[in-house]
Amino acid sequence: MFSLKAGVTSTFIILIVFVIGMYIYMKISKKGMYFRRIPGLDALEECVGRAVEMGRPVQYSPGQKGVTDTNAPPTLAAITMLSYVAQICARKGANIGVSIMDAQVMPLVDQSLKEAYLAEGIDQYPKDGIQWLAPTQFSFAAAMLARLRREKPAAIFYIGHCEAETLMIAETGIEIGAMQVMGTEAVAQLPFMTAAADYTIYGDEIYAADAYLSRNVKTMGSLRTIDLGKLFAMLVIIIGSILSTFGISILTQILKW
Amino acid sequence: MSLADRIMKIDRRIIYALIFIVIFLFSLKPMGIPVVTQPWVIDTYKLVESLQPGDKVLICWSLYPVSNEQIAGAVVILQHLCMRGIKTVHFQTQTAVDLVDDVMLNKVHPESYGQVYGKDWLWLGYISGLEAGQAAIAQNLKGTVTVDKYGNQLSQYSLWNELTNDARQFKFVLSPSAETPGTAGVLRQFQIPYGLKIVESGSAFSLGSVMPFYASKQYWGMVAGFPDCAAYEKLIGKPGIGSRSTDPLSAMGLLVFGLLLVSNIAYIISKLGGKGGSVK
Amino acid sequence: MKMSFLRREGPLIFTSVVAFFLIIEYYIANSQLTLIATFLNRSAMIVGAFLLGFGIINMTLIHTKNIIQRKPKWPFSLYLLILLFVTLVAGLIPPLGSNYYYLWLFNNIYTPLDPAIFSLIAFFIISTAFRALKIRNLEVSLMLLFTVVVILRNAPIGPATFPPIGWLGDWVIISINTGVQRALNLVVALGAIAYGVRILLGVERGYLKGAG
Repeated sequence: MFSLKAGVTSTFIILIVFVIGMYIYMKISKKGMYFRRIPGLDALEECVGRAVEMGRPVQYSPGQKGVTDTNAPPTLAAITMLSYVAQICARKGANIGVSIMDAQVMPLVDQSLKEAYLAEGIDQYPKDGIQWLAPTQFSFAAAMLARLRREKPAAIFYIGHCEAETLMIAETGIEIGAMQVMGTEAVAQLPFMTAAADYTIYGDEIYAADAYLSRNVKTMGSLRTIDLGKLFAMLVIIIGSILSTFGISILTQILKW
Repeated sequence: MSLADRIMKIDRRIIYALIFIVIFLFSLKPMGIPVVTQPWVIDTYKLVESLQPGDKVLICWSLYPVSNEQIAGAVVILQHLCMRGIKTVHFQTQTAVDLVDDVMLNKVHPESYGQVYGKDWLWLGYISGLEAGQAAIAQNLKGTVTVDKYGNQLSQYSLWNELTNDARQFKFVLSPSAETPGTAGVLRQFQIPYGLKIVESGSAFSLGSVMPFYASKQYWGMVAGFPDCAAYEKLIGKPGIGSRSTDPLSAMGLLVFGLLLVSNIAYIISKLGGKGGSVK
Repeated sequence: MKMSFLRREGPLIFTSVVAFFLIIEYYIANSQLTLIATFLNRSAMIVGAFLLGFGIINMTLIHTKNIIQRKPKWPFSLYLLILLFVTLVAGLIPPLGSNYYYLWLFNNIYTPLDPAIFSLIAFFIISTAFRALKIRNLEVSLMLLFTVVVILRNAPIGPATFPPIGWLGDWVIISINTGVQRALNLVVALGAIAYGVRILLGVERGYLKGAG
């Protein structure tokens, strides 16, 4: 009645071990765990402070995609970071505008902003700043460029799943003199962000944002599991390469099981 | 302000104007600069050559029609498939209307190879759900769609009646992609579960992202960008948009190299505080 | 069960149950599970499509406010709303999404505009490279070196006139780039799995409410 599908047994076992390991680490992790610096995340407060000093707004965009496809994790991570940025804006009195491409995230963005402002004791949150610009990539890019040129924000955050419009937004940000923090899991866009943005949050660092900013012991413990997962992957690659060089394909067979 | 500083702070509009002039001039008079045929282009060509007339290929379109470069590779591969008498089944995961019409009817012209819609090629239209749509086609083709893009019952077409629900009936999957789900989706839904060969086509920009999969032979071949497209056109003996576009591409490459050289020389001069420069 | 508990924990419980089910369905071969999973996936698509209406309402409200309050550049808001509703009405004329007026708008206005905006990327890439790629430090110098090599490799004149640039460019793409892409893909995938598991276990809640 219930049997594993063909070719997924090894990944299923690896996933179970990973989840158990994460659960154990979340239980045993203590305060004061070492965490390397992530400059992009450290710069959030600096960027908002700059916007307040210059009397210009902050612009945030949680990327292109929604929450019902395979790009949901970076979008949710971006919304998590939005709540931090919004709370800093509420505390310092900066105006924040949010530009959205996929309307699915609108309720989540609205809720994030509302809760962030309430956490600072402010009832009124900038609801009018949340704008759905366009549903397609380059329509969104064109609308975003127009919004940036019109509102001239001093700080731009473009975090989430980003594609080709990244560089257009980054260049426009430079032209209007904004400080930019960009981050994505889309590997192809990272070089453009590195070249154009002031701070870049690379790949899986966007998933670590909540742990890094809140210093929540449980979530920090789960990040330790990712490090162990990377170590495991490195070992498999090295051992597998050596074995394959000598014509031994046992590791490949095991991973295909 | 020294010359070096002026060069480094040059108005962007001058750079944009230079780009426009270079592309325009080199588009007017093609020079026929030779292109290098990459191994992944040869692999794609050999794969299509190994098929027999009547074999079937699935085309999964994951892009909007934003540029000719993105569809150039797909056009030339489809031309080759039509020349070989291979049957194609098309579906798209983005809502761009008339993409396949534009490619097949305006660029590939299957009728010129004796191919007939319904007998030799089919367009199933937009399948919603992005990767979930791809999964539905892979797992249950005949249950997922019942009408084609034009609203006609698929059961009236002979090609549809030849098809089964087994994804392995297709000799390979051609994936013209730029958007989500693109490369990763096709890999997860067609290559990993069914072992289907995948050929990717898209812009040169996607070459870097797809290369790891080609190197590990999860992707059988690629035609990425105008140079690869021009090389493939040379292999099948049908010069087209790829061949026309290599000259402006070469000119742009040289222009960018020149601009980077000039900006770095200006930077070094201003850093060193040399003659005509200023100390930073 | 208290309402406040349901409001706070309800979405998390629902998310966890559905996510757990879909993960199990991916691994277990059972036609009933597949049917339910297909239903859930389709439901998500339908909810997502309905949410598009949120966006249209949001856009209409914001731009109507701009017009009524005569904010700067309000004529553009009026223009946007006119275009929005003309396209909406054109799309609703049967046959839905493929009648003459809708296709005319899509093929003659939207389709040329999309590549026009896309083509701006070329200009932006070059101005970014001109501004940013300078021999400032080791990392940027390496980035500059590899950019030049790959640009000349991609331009057909590079390998045609100087074959070593082709070999070097191919080596950069096949060896260095492939290794880095694989590493980044692996790391991002691990991060996404861990993030998903944290959502599944209810540990990650930042997307549902305010910070902390």
